[in-house]
Amino acid sequence: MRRHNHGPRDKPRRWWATKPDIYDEVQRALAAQPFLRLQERGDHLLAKGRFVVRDKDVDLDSFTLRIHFPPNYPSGLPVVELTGDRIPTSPDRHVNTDRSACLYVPEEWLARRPNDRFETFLNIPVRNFLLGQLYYEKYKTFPPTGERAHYGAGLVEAYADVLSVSDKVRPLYYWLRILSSPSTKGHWLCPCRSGKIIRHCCREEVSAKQEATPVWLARRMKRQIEMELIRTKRGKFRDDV
Amino acid sequence: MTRTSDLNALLSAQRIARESREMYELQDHRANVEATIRSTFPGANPTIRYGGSKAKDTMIKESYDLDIIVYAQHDDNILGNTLPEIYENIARALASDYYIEPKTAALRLFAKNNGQRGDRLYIDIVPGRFVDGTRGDAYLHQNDGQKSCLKTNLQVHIDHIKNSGLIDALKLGKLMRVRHDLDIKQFALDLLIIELLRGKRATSLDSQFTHILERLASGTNLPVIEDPANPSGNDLSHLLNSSVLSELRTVASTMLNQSENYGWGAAFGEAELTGPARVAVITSAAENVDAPTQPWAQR
Repeated sequence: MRRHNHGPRDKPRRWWATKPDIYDEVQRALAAQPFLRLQERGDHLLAKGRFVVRDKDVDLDSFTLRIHFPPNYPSGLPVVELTGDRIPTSPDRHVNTDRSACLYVPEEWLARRPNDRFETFLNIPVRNFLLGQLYYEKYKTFPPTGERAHYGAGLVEAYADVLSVSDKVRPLYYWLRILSSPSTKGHWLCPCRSGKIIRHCCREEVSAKQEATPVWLARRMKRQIEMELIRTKRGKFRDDV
Repeated sequence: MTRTSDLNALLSAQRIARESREMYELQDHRANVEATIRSTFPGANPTIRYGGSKAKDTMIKESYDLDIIVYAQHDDNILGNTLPEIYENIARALASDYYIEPKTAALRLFAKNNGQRGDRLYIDIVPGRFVDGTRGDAYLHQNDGQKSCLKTNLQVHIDHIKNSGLIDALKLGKLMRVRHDLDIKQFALDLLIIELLRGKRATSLDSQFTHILERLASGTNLPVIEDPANPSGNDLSHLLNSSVLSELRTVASTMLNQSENYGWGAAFGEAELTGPARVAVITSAAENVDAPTQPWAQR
């Protein structure tokens, strides 16, 4: 499975043995999904079986899937693998070639998730994704709650939304450079591109965004943008990504 | 509806019609595989035929993998002198049209997409060689088993399943395995179900499947399974190891509980609502989620 969405720091392996309270929380969350069961595979823990999509206690449908917990759970995000053939492998259905479900732009979820509980993960992104697939089966489009553009364009959209800044690559990347730095210098050029220095321009806005965005998250977003540019073999930024 | 008719309804939804798109696609690929092998190895006269669930009549819509066996005659070396050679040569011949993924004894075919692995085609090719001129027993090459060579007999397997009189129960077992993502090999599950239902052939499908689940959930005194084609030579005990049995026990208990409280549909994960009522609830639920998240597509 993809390894890109680990959290901010590495954790010891077999977290379920070293963090019994988190393991208990996972088990409690699974009590609401009778057909999902936990299975240890060496240093790897997964929940597998059928996920029932419910609305107000009505079982709408169910999907076969596996949820892989990363070694650094809960700071790292679980990965959902679709094991049935019902949802085809296609970017248009948000299913990667390794059959992992692209529930969200990971950094956007890390920035906005209400908490890191497994129950929240099941009830929000996993349920939303499968509900969206049921909707797609009927209407051949995703619900009005929307979907991100594919690949790099989706990253830029999501990061721009998280930071409430322009969705052009160059200014977004400059913001990420500033927010990735543990301390900002007032003489740096202002990210609003006015040509002035921060001290004489958007000082308060920069401070507010620094408050709201952890350095590790900004660094992670910056790294993802850099990797995307390398993948697309663009040596320089273009504002039309 | 009775509980047996609920199970029959589940099975009828899993029937694959002869004229269905899936069957036409599989038949096209089978014809292509046969033509490729026969043209690559002129003079060879391999036996090419359906195996697996197609031959055993246990195919279901949610798992319609097609096994095609390609057995060289016992005295024919054109496909290869040794079993590994036969395996490699057939893989090489098919590699021009398909992306090949080697399995333990089979070659799994995928569509080729710019030389890379494309969509799965649900076809496994099983190369081998007949032991003698009777065209019964055959040797298969094994990549990662305990033994590098496996003796088997396709017709004995087919007869064992078909003559069991338990095709519907076996199909339900297969549906259970697919829907609940069980680790047990289908071959082992088929043999286990036949053993569990010994003497219960005349009972209703509901009683049969309830009995299977009760025995699996109890996890005790489960019968030993044997390869009908080679009872003393092929040890199948590893197919029912403790982890497989533990998973079977968990899933069988949950299914029993669900079937008793909500019916067989719930036990197999069927939707509660159908028709326009279901569409209305899905539409409303999807359009009004409390905390929207937007799916993405990773490169």
